[in-house]
Amino acid sequence: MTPADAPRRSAITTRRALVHGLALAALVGLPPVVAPRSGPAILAPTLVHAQGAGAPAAARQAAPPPIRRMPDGKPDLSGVFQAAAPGSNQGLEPHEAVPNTPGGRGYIVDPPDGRLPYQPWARAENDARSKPERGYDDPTAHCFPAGVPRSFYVPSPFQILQPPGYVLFLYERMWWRSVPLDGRPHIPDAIRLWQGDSVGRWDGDTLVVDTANLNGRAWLDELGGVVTHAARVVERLTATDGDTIRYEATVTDPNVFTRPWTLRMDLRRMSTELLEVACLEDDQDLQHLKDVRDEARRKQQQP
Amino acid sequence: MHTARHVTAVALLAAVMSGAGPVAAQTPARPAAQARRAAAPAVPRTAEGKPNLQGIWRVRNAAAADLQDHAARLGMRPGMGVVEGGEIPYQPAAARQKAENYLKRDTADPLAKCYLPGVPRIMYMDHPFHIFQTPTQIAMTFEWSHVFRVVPVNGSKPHEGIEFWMGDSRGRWDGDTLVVDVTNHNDRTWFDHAGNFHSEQLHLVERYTLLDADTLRYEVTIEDPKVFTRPWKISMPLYRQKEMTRVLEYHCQAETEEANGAFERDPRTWYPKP
Repeated sequence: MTPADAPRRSAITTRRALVHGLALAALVGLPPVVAPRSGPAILAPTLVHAQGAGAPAAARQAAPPPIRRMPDGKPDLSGVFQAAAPGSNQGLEPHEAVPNTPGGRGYIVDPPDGRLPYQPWARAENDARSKPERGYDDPTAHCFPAGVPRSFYVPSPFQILQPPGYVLFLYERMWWRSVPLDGRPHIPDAIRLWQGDSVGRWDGDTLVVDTANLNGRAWLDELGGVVTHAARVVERLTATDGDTIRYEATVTDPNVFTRPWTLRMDLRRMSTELLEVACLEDDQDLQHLKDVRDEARRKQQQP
Repeated sequence: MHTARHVTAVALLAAVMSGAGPVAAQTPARPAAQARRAAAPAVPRTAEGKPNLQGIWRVRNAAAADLQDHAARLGMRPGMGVVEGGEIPYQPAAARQKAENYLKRDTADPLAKCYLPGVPRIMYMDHPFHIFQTPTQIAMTFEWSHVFRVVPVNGSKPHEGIEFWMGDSRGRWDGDTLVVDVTNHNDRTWFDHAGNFHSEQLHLVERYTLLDADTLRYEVTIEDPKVFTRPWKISMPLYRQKEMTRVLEYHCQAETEEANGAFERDPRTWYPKP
């Protein structure tokens, strides 16, 4: 890959095109890579970045670096990370790979069966949304923000900063969340946002982020995981070594689930800088998804 | 700047910095000390002693409509220009292109498609943004479409051979001024809705200087050998949004699709019930 390819390469990772079979021939010149940006392979030297390849992989395996700390003693979570959670963007429950859709081992740790504790209507809704002709309805296909918690596993890198009084999440797909740590309340209930309203605090060495005011439009994953505006999300970020953050998110939504549930995945440090995903640039994928939907509708209407 | 307000702010800040209580803060400073501080206005500083730019900021001008003096047009607020000397030094072919852009601006403006606005335009859009500051990074998070900028202030170099809609920003401190070199632009963003434009050879030098605790001077030197005959400058104040505790979100593409009905939403899960 040449450096000039990099922004376009990252742009293509925003597409669901691969899932629903958009011919790669239509994307002439774009390297067919999605996988290198998800999972442990992120440390492979295929990425082109100014800061170079960083520490050799062998050194990392020998002894994980210690947890970094801020001058005030709190864990230093700052840096560029990506979720090591292959297939999570295609479903948080365990699922096998099918052509063009990566499998996932499942990331739900509670309930113990690893399944979303859906109410029956919501399970049916998720099933309906997972059909190819509903790909058009995934908000991220329209370049809308992925919401919480999906922003962390879309999959693309993100950068964490810890300026005074805040933790800041900057996601390469060009959306952000700022988390004030000063104990302030949430914004008024009537203000609903794609990324919700987050407030945070330290619980020992764990950053706890509480998110409310979600607008209920985001999907949990590309195949239509359901949450509504009633969702509350509590995320816990714990550095387990200098290069790894354990990420847990507990989702409560009485409209959808019979009980709260929790996902867990590792966020791995990348020795790179963020690039830029210009999702709307030359976006042909949305039209493709619309074509798939319209074709399905035509077939449905034929006697 | 209103002098009385300025002095009060300086005295308050000095009192806070010296650990004095609110009673002491209300005591007028002696004239000599006042004069000394007025000459070098006290600005908030970080633990490392750099000017502290962190906070929510916004312009009060109509530069996003047109960088130059302009009367109102449909969708464009009127405003005084922000270009030093008033003229943008276009090469002849570029001047023709600009005139054409202006005529076609309703559809040709990249923002009509909600594309990333680029730098410097994002800085003076009529939306607030939040500056965050650490010793090695400055980040800016904008209300407009969740755009953000990261400015490393760590001596790092720009990426080579990659173009970005928002450019590649690298910062350094020149005394109390944050200087940001912005390179690696693409040729698809405009400076404003009036069609002022540039090529991929655009090079910006931004200068951020706190004039007082609540006013940030924003100045940009603009160079582009393909489009302009010489470097030119814009400058404007940014004002701290003291009444704002958060930057919310205006997502251009979501608002556009909602307005034109392009995205048929699932009514069951979209929007809270009243």
